[in-house]
Amino acid sequence: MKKFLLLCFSFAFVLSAWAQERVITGKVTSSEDGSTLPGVNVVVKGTINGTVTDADGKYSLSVPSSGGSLVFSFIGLKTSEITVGERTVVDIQLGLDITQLSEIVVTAQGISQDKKALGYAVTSVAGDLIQQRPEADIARMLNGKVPGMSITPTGGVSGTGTNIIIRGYTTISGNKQPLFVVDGVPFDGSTNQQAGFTGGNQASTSRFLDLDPNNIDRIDVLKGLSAATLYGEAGRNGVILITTKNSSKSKGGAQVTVNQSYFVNQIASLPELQNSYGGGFDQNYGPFFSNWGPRFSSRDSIPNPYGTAFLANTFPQFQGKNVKYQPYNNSKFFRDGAVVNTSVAISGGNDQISYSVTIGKNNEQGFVPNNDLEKYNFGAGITAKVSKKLSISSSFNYASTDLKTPPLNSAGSSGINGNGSSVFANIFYTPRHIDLMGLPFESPIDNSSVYYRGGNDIQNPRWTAKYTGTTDVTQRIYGRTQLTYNVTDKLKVVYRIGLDTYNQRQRYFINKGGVDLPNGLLRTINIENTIVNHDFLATYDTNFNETFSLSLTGGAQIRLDRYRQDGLESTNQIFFGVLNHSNFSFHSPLNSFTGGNMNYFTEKNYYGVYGKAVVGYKGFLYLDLQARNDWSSTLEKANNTLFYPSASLSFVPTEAFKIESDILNYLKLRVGFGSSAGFPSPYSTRSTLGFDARAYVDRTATPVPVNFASSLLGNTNLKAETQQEFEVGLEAKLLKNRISVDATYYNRSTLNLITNVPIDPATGFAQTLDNLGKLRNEGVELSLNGTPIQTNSFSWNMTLNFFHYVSIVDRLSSSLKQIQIGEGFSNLGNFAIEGKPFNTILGTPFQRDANGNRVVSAGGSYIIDPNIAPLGNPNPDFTSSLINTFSYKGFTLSAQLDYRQGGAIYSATAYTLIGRGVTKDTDFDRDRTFILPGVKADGSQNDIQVTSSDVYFTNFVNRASEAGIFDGTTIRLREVSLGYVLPKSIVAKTPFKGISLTISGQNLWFNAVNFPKYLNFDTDVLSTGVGNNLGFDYFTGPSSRRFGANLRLTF
Amino acid sequence: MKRFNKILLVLLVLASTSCELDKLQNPNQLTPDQANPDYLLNNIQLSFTGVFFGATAFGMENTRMLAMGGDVYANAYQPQSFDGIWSTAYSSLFINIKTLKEIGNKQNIPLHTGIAKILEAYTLITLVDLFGDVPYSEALGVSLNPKVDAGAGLYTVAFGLIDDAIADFGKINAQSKVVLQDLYYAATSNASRSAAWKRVANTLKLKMLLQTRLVDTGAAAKITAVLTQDIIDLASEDFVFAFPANSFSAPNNYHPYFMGNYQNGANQYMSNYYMNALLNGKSVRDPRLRYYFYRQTLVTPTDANVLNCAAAITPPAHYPPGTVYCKASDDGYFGRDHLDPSGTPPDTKLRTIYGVYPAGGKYDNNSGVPGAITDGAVGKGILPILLSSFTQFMRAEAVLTIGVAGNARALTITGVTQAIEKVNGFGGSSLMSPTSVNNYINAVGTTYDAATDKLNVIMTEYWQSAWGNGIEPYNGYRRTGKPLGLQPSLAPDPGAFFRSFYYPSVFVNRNANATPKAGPAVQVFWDTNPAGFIK
Repeated sequence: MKKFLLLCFSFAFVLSAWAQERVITGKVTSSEDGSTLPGVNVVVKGTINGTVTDADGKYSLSVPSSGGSLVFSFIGLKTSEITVGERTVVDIQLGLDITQLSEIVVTAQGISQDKKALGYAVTSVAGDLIQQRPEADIARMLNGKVPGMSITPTGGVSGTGTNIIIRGYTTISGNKQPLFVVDGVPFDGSTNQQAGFTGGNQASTSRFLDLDPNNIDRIDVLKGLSAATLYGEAGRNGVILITTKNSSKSKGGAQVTVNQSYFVNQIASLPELQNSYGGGFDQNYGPFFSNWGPRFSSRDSIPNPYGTAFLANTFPQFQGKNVKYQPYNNSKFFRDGAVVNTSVAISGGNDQISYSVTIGKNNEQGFVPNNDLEKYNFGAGITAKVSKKLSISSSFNYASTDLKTPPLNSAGSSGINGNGSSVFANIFYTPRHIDLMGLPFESPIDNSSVYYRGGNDIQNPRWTAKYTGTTDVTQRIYGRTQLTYNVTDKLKVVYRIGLDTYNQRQRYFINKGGVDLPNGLLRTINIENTIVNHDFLATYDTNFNETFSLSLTGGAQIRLDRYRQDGLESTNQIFFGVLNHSNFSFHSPLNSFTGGNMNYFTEKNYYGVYGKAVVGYKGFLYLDLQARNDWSSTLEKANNTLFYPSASLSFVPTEAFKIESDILNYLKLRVGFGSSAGFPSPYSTRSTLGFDARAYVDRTATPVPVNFASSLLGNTNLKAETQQEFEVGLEAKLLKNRISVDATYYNRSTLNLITNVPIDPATGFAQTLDNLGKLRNEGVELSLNGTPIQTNSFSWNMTLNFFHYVSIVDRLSSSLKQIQIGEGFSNLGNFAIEGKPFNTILGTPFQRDANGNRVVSAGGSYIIDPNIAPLGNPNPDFTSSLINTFSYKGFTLSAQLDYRQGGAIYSATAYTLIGRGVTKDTDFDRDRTFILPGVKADGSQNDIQVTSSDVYFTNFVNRASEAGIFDGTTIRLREVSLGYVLPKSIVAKTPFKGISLTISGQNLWFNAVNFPKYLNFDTDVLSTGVGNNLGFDYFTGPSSRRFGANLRLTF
Repeated sequence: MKRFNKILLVLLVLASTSCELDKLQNPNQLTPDQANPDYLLNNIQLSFTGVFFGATAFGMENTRMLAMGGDVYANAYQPQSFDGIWSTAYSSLFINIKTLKEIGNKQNIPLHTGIAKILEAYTLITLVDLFGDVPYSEALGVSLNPKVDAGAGLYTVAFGLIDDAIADFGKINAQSKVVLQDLYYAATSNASRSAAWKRVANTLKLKMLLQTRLVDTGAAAKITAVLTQDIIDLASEDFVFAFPANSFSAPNNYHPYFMGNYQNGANQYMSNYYMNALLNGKSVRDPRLRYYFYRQTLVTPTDANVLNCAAAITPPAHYPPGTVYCKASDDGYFGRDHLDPSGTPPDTKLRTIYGVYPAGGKYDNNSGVPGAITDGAVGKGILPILLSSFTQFMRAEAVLTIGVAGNARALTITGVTQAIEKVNGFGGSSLMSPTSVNNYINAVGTTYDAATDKLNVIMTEYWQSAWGNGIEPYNGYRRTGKPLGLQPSLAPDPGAFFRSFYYPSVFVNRNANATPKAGPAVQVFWDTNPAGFIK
């Protein structure tokens, strides 16, 4: 209650300017808990004479000499009218107004507003839903809780990045990740990727991982453009406003909260394997990747897999020996990781000053060996009233995030499909007869990788897990200082400076002795990122009379971004195991995976001025007008500025028409139009000349320097892209507030799309940036909340969240038929094609005849059509979640069930595991022959018999991409938790003020219904990492399941 | 309030000092006007190796010099197989040549521009040879969607570029800038360098004239005229790219064939048919066999898990009797047959790999152990682009087919002799016995004399001498249909032979004016031979 009111402290005031005849004083307290209530309006009835209560809930007001009544009002509280009579002291207790319960939300630039005045959608998530969870990544915990927000983790490996898309895709090449604002200042949430998805960026951390979930007080998500206009271009993708405990005010003696949790982290998506057949082809035994060998029942033994000629010196003991031919359980490769989290929060204060300190430590073991995440967070906040008018608030946070994981580079049907190494490349299709965990994985002579293939030509996954890896160590400081000056009671001026700076050290290493890069590699990258942000803000609030209210805000923002990275890559390791550049022979400033220079600096300056006016009419009609003008240093002078307005209207019929009904308690209709800009990343407008001082070394050992035109064709005419959005919504409370509805329809178009256009190299360049076409994105967000049962001791609450969107490329360009989006292969990836859904997957189809029949070759297998064609739409038809919460006395049981309908996924895991014959899906009689449905080249019905190996291996593995496309419909039990708050009567006997215990689990069960059954595939994966791609799995994302308990103590 | 005003003022001043919007020039790169002609030429010379290397791989696979994957021709390559050569040609080579030519209009760098124009001509005709019609007039900034130009016209453009290059060499004077590093001809003076490059220019003309002889009735006269000029006819004049000796270095400087096959087992299959041609094609073994190929084992595997066909060596029914199948010998020479789609067994350290010539690998002295990264010439190989032996074979073909003056037999013998000398001297030591060399050359003579189809002998010897260059045999095969009787594909009907390749994915999918090829059967302009002429 207290906190609720404090948040409102800066809200509407009514002031006195009237004849003064006598002074009434008094104190306003809460009828709930007796706490004092600041900010309550006190008005002499029938006049505009009034005041507000101070921080202690006290007021003092001059009133006419006798009689009259005082009206005490506050948002969310029952308005009370007291006859003064002859009294000079009037104390009063105010209770919550259930029927008019208002919600205060934080909007752009930290302006708190009554939710009923908002003409656009905002979703608030209370800290309780974030804290005490087994995830260190706040974005993953928001999954399913905010309609309109699509959250896709790269995979289940601890510390990997998370893709957040709010309201669908609206840009082809621009950044689509939302803006994070922590305590009013921008917070960098980038994923500083180095080498693309084939080079291991899946292991890159999204930098919002540096936030400590246990330190979060609340999260408000601004989804639409009309909500985010004041944040400028940075806010166009939606804004995630995070209020930390360190920025909130508290009062009273020190309160200490201690959280301790322990969770188990397991692999959730292990396929179910068949136990009938071992490795080989055509039912003949062989040490191949594939598992189309003979039945286990058909022979007793096979030569020891390490009895090969190449391992004769390494393992003489296995030469000529046989082992039993049987299936093995290799799932022991994965481990049960522990997630241990401890956090302590201390807060307290008095009228003048309040403070808060939080300390957190999170230790997380992944389910993959050598995947560990260790986080320390420390934060402190102080708010002080310097004088009657000036107050200062400062917060400071330190985060240290230390991530270690084996590399997660994308892989295909036979090992990595790019550079480097990947721990998942060779594990899932290990032939059934290989005893991965029982056989050695490294040579006792030189620690090199050893494995079953005759040429020792696959890297042993255990070797990969132990001797290759990526590490990411980040030290970050962020915080802000804010000066607030109340010029008058109505006019307030704020200056805020925010700083967010971190140092990130990334390392990618492969010891020598592996297969993928046998001489070893060490790459270290040092990143410094700094955002300095200045905000100047003036707000003016007034009620002209009881009919009209006005709130004005004007402000300016200066944001400076600096990014520097230095890197060095060394190859040719000398002593095994020593990961120091001096232990490698060759050193280069270039990243050998991409050829790119790892040393560079970018800077970006960005300014904006903005204004906002909210006019209220009788508390049921609000008009909100906003506008902003931006200047960006990333465009040429002629095009570097953009003005954009927005307007929204909120109307509350239940108040306007004084509807008092048990059926309809509250109804609000809203409509908004918003616009925003999008600026390109730095240095996009001018062609440059590249150089490399050592492109080659000639026969006289002289380095050969080169100059070359860079692959980017500069475009000095590049303009900002503009986004426009229209949204309508309704909010209602029904049946004595038992049911609430929040529904939104939005329609957003992006014009002049800044697009990184891959161009025909015949132009001399590989890409250019251009303003193209139009993208249309429309969707429906729905949140339904109901309380079917509510008694004194028991309640059942249900929330249904639903989100559907379509994102269509309305117009591209006259000269381009399609544009590849983000990362991919030139013949497989996401594309923007006119008239088609954004991100449509294009790849090689099977060749078909005029009637659509697949054509088989002379060998009886399908032929690949070399021309790529649309294979699927990766955008889900809709996503939804159902959260049921049951409370009984101190117990709370909650379960979140998610359902995703549709959305195509290209899955290398799926086609490879099927094509290589390891999962139970392929446990059929393999001695049969098969005739694939289709026609022969001459058009006649196919009658060519092929073996089971041919059917699967030849047609799935490395064939037409079409074989890898599956429907992504998934049902999932995302979260279950059971909490118990000990009753006060028991707690009173302990030294504590409160004790609660929660047991919970995440991702406990899922079923991707249209994938092969035994694959147990989890669709929560995005192997291309954080970016604008969608719907690709390249063996990087087995998912995790977590369960455990949390204990919370306050004293 | 006043105090706050002051604070605010100071803060405003502080903040506004950082107000700067001029951050447009990328501080991490240079501006185009900072281009240095020497470094541009270095890039052009290096990029050219990418074009040559890419084209060679496709040529060698189609002419059975290397094994080819895929069950039918149409599946052997995908459009994106050609992305690399296309990107290198246009966005690494042509675009920088364009910049260099612009600098040449202002600075005295005729040797630089001359060399660049020759490389441009070679690259341009190679694109035509591979793909047919390709963009040129609208390329390089004229249009974002450049249209293709007819291949015949582009040959004319290339002849013009060569003439321009020769004219540039004529402009060299004492003030002309000396080329800082020439990665092909390591001479020191402008004069000797320009002489070497002029020979390349004339030899390139010879190659182009012979290539277009089916569509150019004046080819004989033009070739006769070129032969009066200085051309590459001595080994010392060979146009090769020589990989350096520094064994380990950053960047990695190995010959790509060496890197791909000696570091971590083989990454390519040799062709059973080509190896067999050297082993058994004549009455005596080709003395170059042990230079071209290195056996990682001296016993060809009999285990079906390593060599799938070894269990039951039954050639496909459609193979003519006596056609090599499954392996080239029992003593370790084994690769794959033509168009073998099967997966990869664990044979990367057993199958035959590139030898010392031209890959810079190991000479086969019967050691029979897997190749290692420290072996042999340690990657100090070459790319044989235009050799003196090639000149002899080209002349022999011109004599025999269009009546250019000369003795075809003598030219063929000279060609074989020069080719063998080149290989024998490779790596600094001559390991062939003079007897084996003589015996082989005599065997060629005997074969020539006995042959009714003498052009087939010339084309066969050219093919056998061109190891490491797939461009000439592939063009020659489409031009003449020879060597005759190359190994059929494993499948009875492999579909149409690649008379030209698919357009690259980066062209077809990014260029609005691009039309994909109808299929492998589309012929380039100089190929007037009938459909189905070659398989």
